[in-house]
Amino acid sequence: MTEYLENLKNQSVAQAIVEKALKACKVREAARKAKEVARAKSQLEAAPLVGKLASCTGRKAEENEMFIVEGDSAGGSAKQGRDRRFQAILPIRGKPLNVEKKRIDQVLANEEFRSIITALGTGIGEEFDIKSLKYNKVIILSDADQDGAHIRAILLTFFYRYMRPLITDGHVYIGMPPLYRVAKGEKIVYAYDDKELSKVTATMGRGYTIQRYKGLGEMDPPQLWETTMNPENRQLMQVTLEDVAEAERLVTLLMGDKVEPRREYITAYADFNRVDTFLEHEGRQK
Amino acid sequence: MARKKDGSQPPKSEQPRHEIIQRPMDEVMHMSMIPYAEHVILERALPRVEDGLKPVQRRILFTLHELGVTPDKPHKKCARIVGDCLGKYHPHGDSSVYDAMVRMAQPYSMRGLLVDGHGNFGSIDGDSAAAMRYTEARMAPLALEMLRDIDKDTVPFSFNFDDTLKEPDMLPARYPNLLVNGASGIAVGLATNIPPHNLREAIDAAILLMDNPDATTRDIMTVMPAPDFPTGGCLIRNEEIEHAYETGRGKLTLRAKVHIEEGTSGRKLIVITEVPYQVPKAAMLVKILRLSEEKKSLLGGIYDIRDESDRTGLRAVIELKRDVDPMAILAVLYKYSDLQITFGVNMVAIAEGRPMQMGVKAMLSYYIDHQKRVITRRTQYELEQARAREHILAGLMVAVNHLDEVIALIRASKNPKEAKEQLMNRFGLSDIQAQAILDMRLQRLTGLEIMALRKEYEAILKTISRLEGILKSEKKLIAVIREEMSEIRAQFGDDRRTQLIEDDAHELPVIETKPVAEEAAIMRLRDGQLRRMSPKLVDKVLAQPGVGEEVAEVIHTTTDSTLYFFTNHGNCFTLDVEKIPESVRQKERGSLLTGLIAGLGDGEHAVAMICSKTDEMEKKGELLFITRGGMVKRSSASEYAIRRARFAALNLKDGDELVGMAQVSPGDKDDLLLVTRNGMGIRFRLDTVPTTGRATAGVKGMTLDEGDAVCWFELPKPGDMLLLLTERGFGKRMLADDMERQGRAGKGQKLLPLTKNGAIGFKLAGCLDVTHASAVIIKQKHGQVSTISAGEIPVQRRTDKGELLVSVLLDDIVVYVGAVSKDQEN
Repeated sequence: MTEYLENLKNQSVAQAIVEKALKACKVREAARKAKEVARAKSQLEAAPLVGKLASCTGRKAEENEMFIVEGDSAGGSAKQGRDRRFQAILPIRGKPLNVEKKRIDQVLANEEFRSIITALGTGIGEEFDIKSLKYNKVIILSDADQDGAHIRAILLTFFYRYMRPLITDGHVYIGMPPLYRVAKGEKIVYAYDDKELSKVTATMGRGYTIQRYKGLGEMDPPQLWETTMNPENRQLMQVTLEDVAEAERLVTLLMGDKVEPRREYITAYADFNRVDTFLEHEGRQK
Repeated sequence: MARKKDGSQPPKSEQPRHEIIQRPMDEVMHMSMIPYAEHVILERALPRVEDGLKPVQRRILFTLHELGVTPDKPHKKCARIVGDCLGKYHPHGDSSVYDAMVRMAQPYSMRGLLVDGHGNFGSIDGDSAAAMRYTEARMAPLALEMLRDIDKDTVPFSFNFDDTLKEPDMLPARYPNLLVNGASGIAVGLATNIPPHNLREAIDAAILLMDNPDATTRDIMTVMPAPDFPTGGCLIRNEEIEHAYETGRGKLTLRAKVHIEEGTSGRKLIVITEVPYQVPKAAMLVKILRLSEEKKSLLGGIYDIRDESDRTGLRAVIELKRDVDPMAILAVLYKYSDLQITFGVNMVAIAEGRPMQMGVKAMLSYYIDHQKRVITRRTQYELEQARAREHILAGLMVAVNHLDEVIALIRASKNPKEAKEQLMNRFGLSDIQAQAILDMRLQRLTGLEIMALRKEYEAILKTISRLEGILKSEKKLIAVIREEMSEIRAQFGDDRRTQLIEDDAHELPVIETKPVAEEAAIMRLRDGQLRRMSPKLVDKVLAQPGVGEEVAEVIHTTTDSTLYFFTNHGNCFTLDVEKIPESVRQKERGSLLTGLIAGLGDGEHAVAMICSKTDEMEKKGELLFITRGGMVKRSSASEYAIRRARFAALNLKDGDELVGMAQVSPGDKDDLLLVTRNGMGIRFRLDTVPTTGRATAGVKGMTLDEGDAVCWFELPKPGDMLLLLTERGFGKRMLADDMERQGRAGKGQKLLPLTKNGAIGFKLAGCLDVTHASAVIIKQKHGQVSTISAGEIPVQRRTDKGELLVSVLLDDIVVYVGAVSKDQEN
């Protein structure tokens, strides 16, 4: 065989053999890739989320809610504080990827986004199918601080880029934990913003104490349920998509990779002279 | 602390409640990102112009101050310091605090060390520090100057995150720390990168500007000419420094510090003793190693790379091969490796509560204003203290001056309260003064003590007038600042580490040395193989018997030339001569063209080849292309000087093929001769073929009958002898001059009477120029090969039908006819 191939006369045969082998190799390669993509996708659909997602027992998608919670510490209290019949908890660690600056394969490789995609069951991009959505409400629950706001923006960007119908159909909500807890004796009132705090403290009279919540982890599970998760009491913000052009502009501008327009926008809108008014309440309290 | 921006929803006083507010996506993005951006800009990534610290750094120093871990006290576990800092002031991850503290303790990161670390705090190789449970730290002496006078109400304080403690908004920073230690950070839409400076120079600059507020950047640069990096290195003195100092933006060029040593066996060593700022040494060496492999032509002179650093200091060695010029290697390393870096200056700091890009002068002005405020506030504080003391002393002086009366008065009083009132009434004293007298111990009534009291009183009066003087006069205020800064300068100042060098880029030109071109011979065999060999070897190979038949062509060229292959599909493929594997033995298989060039189509093969350096293509004159369909095209060879692996040589009609290519001179008046498979031939003047561009189809050279095709062409010279051979083995020799010159694009003349009955064959098997041939090789389809002496073939006229040269039996036909030249015979 070797002799035959080494003979110059048989070069055309040898050439043909090589070409055939190369072709077969290419075909195998393509098939392997296709298989891999399919596997990655089916993995996403069937990946076990045990230990990550605390799913709910109810099977009616239209009643179910999924909370995406910032940090494992807050995730823990959310799991304990929830109503497991219809509330699922998915904690995410740290800051997720900014999908606006990443390619789709990087996004798909990201552990946190994989969990979200799998948990929602809809697929992403062109394959997004709202009918397979497992939760009617997807609630982003992040800390009431600046990093929480950042995480919220990153998650919204992800939904906007890869699961837009989720927003257009009104499935995306933002959980609103209280900012203050005003207590006087047995009476406890939560305030969700500064104006409310003024009103509450005005009706409370003297001798109350105010706790200012910086993170969800500061709340006990029952507190979290009572203030943020209980459908009877909680306040939610539904994210809508009215002006797609404007939304597109802001997402690109705030999350994209061009620095200059972002700087201009921030310079135009940021208020660098914000005054902390908490002290005034403090003063009133004494 | 920033708040949720949007509070427009009217709050309901009653609870419980349940509501869903709707917000458009764009608004949510805005209200999420703006507070985050504000926060990162103001409270995370950027330093304050006053003390040059980011919040986390300030909080670490303040924590150290509160814990009392001053340089004279023992070190404290880092975990404790980090824990205190987290719990009291910095409500974020522990690593954010520890990483910041580690950096403040790294002598290669900080020009003025602020933390004195004990244990592994990382290395210049980029190793990370040990975990915080292992390491210990305390303030570095310079940190005391950052914090000096902080307890004298010199800086404003704010509440911490839970409003239980107060933390300073800025530190007194008694030396210009923003310049000395620099800063770098990335915020949202903003970033900063301020280079570090020499403490002496920075203080000199501050004093200079304080004395002369109108001083220009250039004036400042007389005392502070450039940044001074903790890692030393060499900074190129160019106009970018001034530009950066003036505007806050500029690109500085920083180099490692190297010298040349003589190594063993005549090898020279490039020794690196200082690396550019923020370049991890190990990574830099790895990159150089990789470069030396990638850029062999430039860095082939590198023999070995070693890191010889030890406890005596940094030392990395690049050993060169013998007779390699170290300066040439250095020039390449400066250009391609981190041995030279660009430090992108972008001086942004928080001033007046907002991020600002500023030059050095603005930076120093803000700092001076800060110092003036600090000293004013301190003076006020000290003045209040002094006045309080003076007040008490004044009371005591009254008591001493009326000692007996005071004693009598006290003795007569029933209780301390009465005594105090009596004293106040009798001597017009204040409550505090009267109390001080009552609190006085009896031993203070000794003569010596009374003297001391008087002296203290005088001293305090002097102090008061001095302090009042400072507050009244800006000049005195500046003098105080100058004096105190000068003390710091004397105590902590050290010599400049970064050397300023002149820009010598022009002295070290980087010459990409090409490998020296060698002479080479390209041998093309009839079966399409290519061999490259030395000219010596090619002679030996050709001398072998029988080789001559296989060789189609031998080109003598050099290894820096390129081969241009023209294929039957009308493409031109290029192949660098040096890419053909060199044969070193006489008998060696060559490489097939398909193995050397990629992209050959089905059934595509080379029909012609030329060899030239790409930039010398115009020397090849013009190229003449002939197609099966009778088309002729000529173009300037320079049109083919294209550095692409594959491009179109000409435009072919569907089904047409390139038969061959020949080099002609521009304006050539010679003839072109075309021969077809049906035995037709035409001869016309070459200058009737216009010269056109590369991607053109050319013009018609010959009108062909249905099914006919051009199979051969030549540029006949007088006396040229042609051989015509039919499929059935009939052939004749004929003078090319026997053909009349005709017009281009005609039908031509019959060269052989190929009749319909096929008596001598239907088609021409081949046509050859046998002027210089000694023999002719004829191959038949069924494998028979015959060699006939060229001289034996009868010479006939154009109209003759030829003679049977080889016997072709049954369905056999002649498929190949080739000549053996007289040279090859020898």
